Amino acid sequence: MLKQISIFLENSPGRLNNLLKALYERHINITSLAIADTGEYGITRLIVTDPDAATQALKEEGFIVTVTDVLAVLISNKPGTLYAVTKLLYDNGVNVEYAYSALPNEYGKALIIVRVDYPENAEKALAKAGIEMLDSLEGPIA
Amino acid sequence: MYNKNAESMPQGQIRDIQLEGLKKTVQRVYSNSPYYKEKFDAVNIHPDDIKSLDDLQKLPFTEKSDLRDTYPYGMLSAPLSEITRLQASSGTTGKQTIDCYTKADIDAWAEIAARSLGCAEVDSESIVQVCYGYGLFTGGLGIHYGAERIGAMVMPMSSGNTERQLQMMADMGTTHIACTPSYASYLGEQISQNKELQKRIKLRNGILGAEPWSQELRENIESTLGITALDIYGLTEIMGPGVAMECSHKNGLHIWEDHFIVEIVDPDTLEAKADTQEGELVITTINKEGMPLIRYRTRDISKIYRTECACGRTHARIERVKARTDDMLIIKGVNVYPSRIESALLTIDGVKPHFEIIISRKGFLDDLEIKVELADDMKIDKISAIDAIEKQISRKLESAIGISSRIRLCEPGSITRFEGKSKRVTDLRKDN
Repeated sequence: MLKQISIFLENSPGRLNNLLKALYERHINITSLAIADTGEYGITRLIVTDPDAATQALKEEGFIVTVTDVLAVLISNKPGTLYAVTKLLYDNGVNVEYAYSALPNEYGKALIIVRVDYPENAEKALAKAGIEMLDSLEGPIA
Repeated sequence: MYNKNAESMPQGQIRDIQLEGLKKTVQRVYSNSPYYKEKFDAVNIHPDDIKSLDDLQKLPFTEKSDLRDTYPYGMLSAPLSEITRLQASSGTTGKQTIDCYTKADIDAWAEIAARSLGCAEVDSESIVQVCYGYGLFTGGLGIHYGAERIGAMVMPMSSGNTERQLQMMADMGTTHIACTPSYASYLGEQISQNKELQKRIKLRNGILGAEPWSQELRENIESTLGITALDIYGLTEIMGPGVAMECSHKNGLHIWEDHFIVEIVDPDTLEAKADTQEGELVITTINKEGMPLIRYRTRDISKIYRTECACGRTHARIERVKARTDDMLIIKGVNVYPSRIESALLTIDGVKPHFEIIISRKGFLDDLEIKVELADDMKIDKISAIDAIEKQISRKLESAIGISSRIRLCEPGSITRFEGKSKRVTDLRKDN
């Protein structure tokens, strides 16, 4: 699983800008970004190269930061591959809370970030079915 | 105790001093203030009619509006040649009101301020950092004179420049700090974020006042600053800080009865209430020359305790002022005190004691929005978490103030911090 960092932001001009500036100043690269918003607030979810450093940096800047374990699923960029994943999760009684896709990457496959209610169960079920997942953004594929 | 004889004198002796002082004061205002003469004549009262302390009830009340109507010098009972000092209220609740002091008044003020600081264990070894504003506001100079009278070392910092306040506090080894509770909570927040600084702070007690505050905020300040936070009471019209002060037993504020007579009245009917019933605090000064006030309606809600205090002081105690009738908001027809909102917020985990109240009118309906600042250790990963926090706050507030509000969550540090009296309410209805 990967560590995702979520940042609570007020939905007002400049807030996302300040967040990204803090990461840029520490040379932290973002490989995936998703924003959920309610009109008044937003939650920005990021997959970054160094989640520990990013968390510390953002806390120093006064952001509310939450670290969450998420599944990082590598699938071929073909019809039905993501469906196979969600079906496996559904069959195993795992609920998907949210999901988003990552930027094109060196693996030549689609990288999908999935947050579920029972991450361990989900990971076991997917691994058993031969679905590739990442445990970090560098090094060999798990 | 700073003045053991005066502070622990028997109640009977206090009553004798009060009767003497009341007679003297009534005579003084009648002979010197055309305003009071007219007011007494209108209800057919003459100074000779004051024969016992019960006769106080016959005297008319003095309202804040009377001070404004006679502004600037109409309430004086001494010629300007005898006045040596002018102070003015901060004007938080409208036009400013003033107080004029003779030399003897300044001396008496230093005495009661010294007794009050003594309640917070200020002595000649103490280092007192005064972060109340110096100037027309009574806070700075009042505490200053009191601390100097005791022989403590005074640091006349005045308000503002938080970085310097903290540096001096650490460098000089400040033992006592005097400021508003909202500023104390801000200082506490700053100190708890800086472990190196925290180690160098030697604070013992806080002398906090000039605005109503809640028990919950007290606990917050005590834990972040590592002090005993004590409440000091005073108002410009009466004297300034030091009219009453809490001792370490925290069971009400000793009001110096050889200088003031306190009563509790129903703010609507003005009828006298039993001491232990909650009502508006009414104060008569019995030792002032420049601008003595008879039965002044303070607008502060309190009650009086006359039971013994373990500290040995014999003077009556007033309950901590949690609300000021002037601060009361009427929203959707319901009376709302901002201090109730503060105390409710402080019982919720993950929320800081910084908030803003915005009242507006949508059509014919009042709309109450409360901006609440989140603590930086909150865990928020999902929209449903935001909803849950909002609902929790909203429920707690509704049960505390009796009406519903819209909660607006804010990021840490985004709500204004105050160096003096806090201003948390924006009422947009007045423009409509």
